[in-house]
Amino acid sequence: MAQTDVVFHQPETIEAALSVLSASAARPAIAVAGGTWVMRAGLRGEDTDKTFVSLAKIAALRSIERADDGLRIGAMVTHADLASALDDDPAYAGLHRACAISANPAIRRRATIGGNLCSDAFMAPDLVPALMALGATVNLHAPTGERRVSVADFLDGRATRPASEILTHIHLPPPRGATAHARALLRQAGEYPVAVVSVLAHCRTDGTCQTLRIALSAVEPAPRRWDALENALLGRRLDPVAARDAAQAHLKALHPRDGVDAAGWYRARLLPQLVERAFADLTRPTAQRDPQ
Amino acid sequence: MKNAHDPSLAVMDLPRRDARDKLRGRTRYTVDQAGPEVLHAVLLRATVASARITRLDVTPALAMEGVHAVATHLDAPGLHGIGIADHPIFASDIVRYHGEPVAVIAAETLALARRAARAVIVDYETLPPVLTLQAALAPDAPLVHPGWENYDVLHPGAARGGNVAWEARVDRGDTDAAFARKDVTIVEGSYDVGRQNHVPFEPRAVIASYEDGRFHIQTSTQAPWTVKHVVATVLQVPEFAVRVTVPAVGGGFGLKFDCSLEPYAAILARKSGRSVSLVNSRREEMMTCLCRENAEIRIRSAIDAEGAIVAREATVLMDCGAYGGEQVFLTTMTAHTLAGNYRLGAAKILTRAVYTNTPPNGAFRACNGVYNTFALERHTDEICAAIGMDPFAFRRRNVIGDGDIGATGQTFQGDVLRPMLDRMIDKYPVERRSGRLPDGRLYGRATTVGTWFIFVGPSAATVNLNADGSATLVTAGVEIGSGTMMQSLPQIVAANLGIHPDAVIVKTADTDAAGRDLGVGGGRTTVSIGAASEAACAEVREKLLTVAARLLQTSATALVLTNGRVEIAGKPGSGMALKAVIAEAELTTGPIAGSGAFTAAGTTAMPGCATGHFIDAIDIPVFAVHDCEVAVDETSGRCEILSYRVVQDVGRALNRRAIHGQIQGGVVQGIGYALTEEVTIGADGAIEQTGFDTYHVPLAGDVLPVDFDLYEGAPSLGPLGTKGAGEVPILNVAATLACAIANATGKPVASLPMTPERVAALIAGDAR
Amino acid sequence: MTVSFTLNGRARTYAGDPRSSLLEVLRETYRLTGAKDVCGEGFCGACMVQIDGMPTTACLVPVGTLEGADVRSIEGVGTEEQLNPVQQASIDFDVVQCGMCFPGMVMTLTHFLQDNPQPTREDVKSALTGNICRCTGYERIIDAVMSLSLAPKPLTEAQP
Ligand SMILES: Cc1cc2nc3c(=O)[nH]c(=O)nc-3n(C[C@H](O)[C@H](O)[C@H](O)COP(=O)(O)OP(=O)(O)OC[C@H]3O[C@@H](n4cnc5c(N)ncnc54)[C@H](O)[C@@H]3O)c2cc1C
Ligand code: FES
Ligand code: FES
Repeated sequence: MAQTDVVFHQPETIEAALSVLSASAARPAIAVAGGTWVMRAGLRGEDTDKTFVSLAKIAALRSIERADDGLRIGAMVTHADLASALDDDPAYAGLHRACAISANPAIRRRATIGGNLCSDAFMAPDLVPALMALGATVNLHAPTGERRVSVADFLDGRATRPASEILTHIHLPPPRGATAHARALLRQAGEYPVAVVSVLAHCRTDGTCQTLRIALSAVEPAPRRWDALENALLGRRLDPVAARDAAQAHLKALHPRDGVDAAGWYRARLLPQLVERAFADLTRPTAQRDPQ
Repeated sequence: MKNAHDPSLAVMDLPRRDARDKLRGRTRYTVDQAGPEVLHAVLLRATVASARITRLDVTPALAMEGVHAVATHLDAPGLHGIGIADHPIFASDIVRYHGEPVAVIAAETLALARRAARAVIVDYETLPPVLTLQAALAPDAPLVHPGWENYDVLHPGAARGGNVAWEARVDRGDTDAAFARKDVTIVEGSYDVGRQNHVPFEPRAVIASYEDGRFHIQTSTQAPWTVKHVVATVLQVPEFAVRVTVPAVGGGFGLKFDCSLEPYAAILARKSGRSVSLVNSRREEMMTCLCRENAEIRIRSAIDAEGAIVAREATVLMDCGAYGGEQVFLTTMTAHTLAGNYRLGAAKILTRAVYTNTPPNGAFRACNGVYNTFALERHTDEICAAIGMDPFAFRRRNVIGDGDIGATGQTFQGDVLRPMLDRMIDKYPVERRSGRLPDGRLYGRATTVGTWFIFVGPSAATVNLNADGSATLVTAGVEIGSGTMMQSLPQIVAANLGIHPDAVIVKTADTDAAGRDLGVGGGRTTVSIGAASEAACAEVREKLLTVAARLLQTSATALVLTNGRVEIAGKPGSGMALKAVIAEAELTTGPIAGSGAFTAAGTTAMPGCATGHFIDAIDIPVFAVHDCEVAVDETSGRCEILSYRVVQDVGRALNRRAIHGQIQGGVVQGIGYALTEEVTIGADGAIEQTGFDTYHVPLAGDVLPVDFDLYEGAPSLGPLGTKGAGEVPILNVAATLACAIANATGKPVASLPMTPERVAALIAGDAR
Repeated sequence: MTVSFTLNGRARTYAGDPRSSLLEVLRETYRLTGAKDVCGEGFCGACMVQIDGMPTTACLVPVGTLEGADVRSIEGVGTEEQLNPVQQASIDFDVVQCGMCFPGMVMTLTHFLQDNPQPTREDVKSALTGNICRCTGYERIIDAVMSLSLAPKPLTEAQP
């Protein structure tokens, strides 16, 4: 490595980061957040000779701000930080759970919410469906300007996103209703989930569902909303068993993937049970929730 | 002279002398040894399962700066193997499995060696691979070893041919006549099991150097003498030109019972004149692990009206992968595991080790005993269902007892399994075997029996008595984590010499210092090395007591060794310190040392009933009774273990606390095998579970405290009546869980592992 | 580019590739081999060190991010005379087998007990989700940890 050949940058501002990410250089540059995905590139057989642009020193990316229009979460907030920030906030119970039980304790302390959104080859993120259920939008900053898109739109264009674009923060609208997050594992904990269901439900005073968002992860190659099920349950009362039956009836709308960890049919088999668990959680005070 | 000491002196909860450094991160395993002076090597491995190599050009790699040596098949002409010499260390013209080494490169750094490996030019002409047992045994299957007839047979007598690497059979009594009887119920079952990866935390690793015309190999192995032999064989050098030493080993479980990376590093060391380190990456370790093999088991039994098993036939197909390896030897063991638990009128057992174009398999804690016990115990429960007999009563009635004969006609001594079963059931009476729990899950319970053996065989030991009254034990035994070299052996030596175990120095394995040994595995360390150590101690005692008798003016038979002193029996304080006796010996006869050796003489079997077997009978059987309760979720197929209990035959428990650790650890490894650890082979012949993201060993949240009871007093040839205690805890875990899950779900569990997905598939049936 | 940080209380300046993992740097540059390279991807915890007091899998941390950090590896825990309580309890309960996972276990559990002086067995198991042991079957490790709990001891407590 020649003296002038800088392979590691740790800028302190977004602008500085954007300028190194977009500078044309001998090797491609990559944003590094918690590093829990990037540092495994070699194991995945990917090219590892990239210029690292660490986002760790950009204070602006680390904050969590509450405002009238909702919650603004910096991209560099870790799973663990977010879990403690959301701790006693029942409206965010689903996202809290996603942050608090994903991966393992050491990974939760490093892995960031921005990284969870930006790891496009990772098929089983927990935070992404929880954000979709909350109706989150993401803010992206490129040398050419800023944009704000829904998580679903972000996922659609993710694979072709310019490398010089930074996800700066996530915006959550003020939550209306209750949220829940249910995940299926092959052991008690520790591995990537084989299926995840994240739900937000807002009910009218008569108990019928006015807003319902159901997002899935790990089932298909990328997280998605399960709109067929949402439509089927909208306007009805929250009933875990009915939700389970409706989920069973709407499995056809999905294209579950076969993976080394689980076959598609099995992921599909788990979904009605996960939906039931999530709906049961929605109707239950946080403290008594299903530990799984 | 007889060992006139009290065996109970050897019984204690001695802590481990290696724990402190391990806890402080000070212990240097082989993977920690390579300092900056060492070259790093990388294997170039085949990326196809079956192919002809049409071009292999290493010159571009060799030309790279920082590359010191490259080796290929041209550097290692010899073939090695167990039973048959079928295994070259490099693919020469033919590639037989995905991951097979083609070349090896040593360079200044690992990164450079990797880059150089990518520069090697290899062209393959791919051939259709045989990836499954069915494919290998199909009538027109391509041959994995087209030249199989030309291999040296190292142990004659077995049938071989085509893709059948080895065939072992037992024909004891007339099974045909028994199956033809009108009064018998015939029960038949087929079972299949997948592979299990050992996942020792330290991968296979070696550092080799070449000095004064000899190889020095520091390696993470369980079997230094095997490494010495195989390195010499494949390099075609005399065995005396190879020295093997073994640093602390970070887990083995059988994986390191075979030679693996050592010859590559040896060749590169000779070529480069430098020390060379070769360490498998975790990915390589996952993809080329010498797994517990996948297998298919069919069992058929004839049961008479009283519930006696009048005949049993079994066929076992074991996948040895691309080369025979341990599976060739292990064909012998199916007979003893399928016909060593229950009394059988007649037995006919056929076992085949079958070649496929998949990574070779190997030995893993209790080897095929684990899945044969699974198959047999599921079959046993199916028998009970067919004849309407309680599974516990059936087992109690039929388990092998005193005077019963085993698979090959050996006579078992002592009633062991039956009292063990009684102990289990007295402690945990059976209320029900199936039902539904209040939370909606299915409940199941099962109790199983298992028989395994202690793999005895040659061991040598030397004991040097030092001037300070301590002793040095020199053997080729290796501490792989089970504690034997840290606990049992010093305890045995100390009890023999009347000193504290802390005063027994245990020399780490060095084939230049210690005599031949078969290796640490098969539960044999305490038994074989322990017995050799006792024999060495006997010589030391005799020399010591002769001198002491002279000094104390009494007869040697009146003396005892205790607390670092020689005393006249019954008169504490009457004798003298060991040091004084040793000092006197130095002046008269010279320093005191003893050497000892052990091998089991061999237990007699019935002549003529076994063919293709490596051993006729099992010298030291070990028995286990396991019991568990499970809760199964019908949708997810997930199984939670509610209780797990073990009654284990240990002969004599020298260190109860250490045995507890082995039982807890072994059962948990068995839980992984039974429930979550799955190895699958893709269409390209590569193992699909390449890391911890997809290979799921049990985590802390998946386990429970195992309740255990040590059954002592069963006959054993082992020193002080011991039997190995570390291997057998895994034996019936899959069997017990499978029987419990079958009871819970009412489904015919016949495959391992019972992953949630497979259990869900079984429950869903066609609805899936 | 160089990276300056504190390693087991001593100031260090690293001058190699800043993208290298801390694990690689500990093992190769400083020859501190207590942290083990077992999975290289965050699942096993054998490489656990503490960075600014927090247990972290060294295999996933680019060393370039450690400017000014306080790094403690297993070699910086306990002394020859006095082991730390987790190390001592592991000896007292005879839980160590091959030992490869224990440096990481000690790092995780030491921090865990600071935050949770009276844990339940389940708490300890959750804390160990990212620390795999292939040898021991965990429960004896948990017995050892529970012996350090400041909670009143039940009568049925596991023995060393
Ligand atoms: C052992 C283990 C278990 C895991 N289990 C789970 C689990 O159960 N559930 C789960 O959800 N996740 C799990 N993960 C995945 C983990 O959540 C992701 O690896 C993590 O969220 C990625 O975040 P990071 O900050 O480490 O990203 P990095 O590794 O730093 O980056 C990941 C990718 O995102 C890009 N990137 C990161 N931040 C930005 C940004 N702000 N702007 C633009 N691009 C960016 C990087 O360039 C890179 O391509 C697990 C990971 C490990 C190691
Ligand atoms: S080696 Fe870092 S977590 Fe396994
Ligand atoms: S003691 Fe071997 S991995 Fe834990």
